[in-house]
Amino acid sequence: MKIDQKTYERINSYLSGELQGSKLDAFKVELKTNKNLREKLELQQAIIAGIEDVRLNELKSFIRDNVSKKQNTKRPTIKTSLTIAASIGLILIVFFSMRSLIKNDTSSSYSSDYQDSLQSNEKTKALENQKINQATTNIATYPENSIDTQLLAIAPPPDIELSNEEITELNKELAEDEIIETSDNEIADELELDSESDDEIQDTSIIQKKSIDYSLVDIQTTKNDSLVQMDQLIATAYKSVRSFSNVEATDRLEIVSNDINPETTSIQITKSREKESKNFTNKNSTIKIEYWNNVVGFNGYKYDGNTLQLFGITYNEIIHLLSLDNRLYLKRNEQIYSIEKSSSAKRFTVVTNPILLKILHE
Amino acid sequence: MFVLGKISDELIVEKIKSGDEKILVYLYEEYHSLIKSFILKNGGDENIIDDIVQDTVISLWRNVQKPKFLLQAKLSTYTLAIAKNKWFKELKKRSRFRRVDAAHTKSIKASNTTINLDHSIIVQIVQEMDETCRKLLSYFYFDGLNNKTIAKRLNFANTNTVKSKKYQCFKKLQSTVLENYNKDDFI
Repeated sequence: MKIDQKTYERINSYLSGELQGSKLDAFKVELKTNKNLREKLELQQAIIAGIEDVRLNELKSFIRDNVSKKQNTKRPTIKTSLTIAASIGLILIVFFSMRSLIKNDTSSSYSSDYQDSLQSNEKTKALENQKINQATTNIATYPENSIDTQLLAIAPPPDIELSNEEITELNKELAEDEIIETSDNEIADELELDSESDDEIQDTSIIQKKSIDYSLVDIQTTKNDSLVQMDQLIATAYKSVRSFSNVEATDRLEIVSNDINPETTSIQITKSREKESKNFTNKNSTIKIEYWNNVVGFNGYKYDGNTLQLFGITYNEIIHLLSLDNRLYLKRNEQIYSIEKSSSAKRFTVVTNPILLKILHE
Repeated sequence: MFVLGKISDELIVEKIKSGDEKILVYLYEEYHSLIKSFILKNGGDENIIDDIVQDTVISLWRNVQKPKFLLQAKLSTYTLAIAKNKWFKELKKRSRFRRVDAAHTKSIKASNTTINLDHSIIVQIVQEMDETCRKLLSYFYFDGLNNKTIAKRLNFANTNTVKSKKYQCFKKLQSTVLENYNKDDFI
């Protein structure tokens, strides 16, 4: 059964509906009479059905493959995203729950270790006291004009074999003690001392808090009081500075001391006294005066432009502050000392220039 | 999917007419939930949904390819109409009392034909034929493309080449089919 192109095209036209009118009628008549044409039509129809099926399956496969590909690439992404989100959530939950546990553990360990820490502190402080007392007694000479008295008080002399490790250990022990005290809210008043003192004092506050000035405040001492004696802030005053005139005015005087006994609070005594000079002729300014007790008996000062730290001068001693050409002078017992700005402690330098002395005395 | 975001109806029609088969995947995903919702509300189940959606999309593909196609409504409305027809046909198939469909009269019934042909053998032969011929015949008979479009898609010189090549491919296919049948198969 062979088919020519003309018949093939006629059958195609008939099957697609393109064959119309008289041509269609003629084709239908021929179909009834021509068996060969009828067979050709049926064969062509069967083949076309096969072609259509193949193409239909091809397109279905294409859709199915691409949709499943997308789903395969999508689903893991969704799964991965969900997994990541769940993991992050889990980590956060664990983190926060662990953090609260850690906090509890820390606080409980503080409380449980508190007694042990106190016991170990006694041992440490005994060693500390022994070595620092030794250091204090061995310091005999100072540099001429620039001495950091606090460092002198803290640092051991070279001939004392206090290794860095031992210092670190001591500081660590003391720092732990500090943490315990802080957690127990027993040093609130000591923090007031910190706010009174400058940054440098705060740096050494761990040791300073353990010291006490026995000469000013009569406090029942404990075994901890005698461990360390360091530079001690005795009092804070605000003094007027007069230019070219004698000044005698103390606006306010505070006597500050603190107690290292954790069971007692710091003592702060404030006295106010007013002395007014009748010879005000010029503008005055005010600077803060801190009276420090130095464990090595150093006489000098430290002045940063705002605060004058005095060593070796008691708070009840009468002093005058004078300013000439933006330079500060301290008058004490008819002696005038030049005060220079310096980050380190300096010895008092007596003014000897007669002209300058004359102006300042006037 | 190959395309991100929504594609306008006009662009979809354009892509179908240009023979971009990737749009089928987009159409499948775009209208799957719409068709699924309709089928589930009308007594269907999950198992048949994918087949109906596929058939619907392919019918849309075929209809749009026809030269006389003119989109007069939203493509989603048109697609859903096709899906409804597909589903109702499926319901008729499932019905115990099948009504005689006019379309069936046009199709080949083995019992009424003078040639007893196994459809699966023809399908197999079509699948194994030369790719260019298979594409050419598929584009013409299934996709309903005219000779001009086929020439463009298959890089033929002109429509006459398509016409000639189409006849040659069909003739060869017919010969192969006939070779697979004995004379006894023909009454």
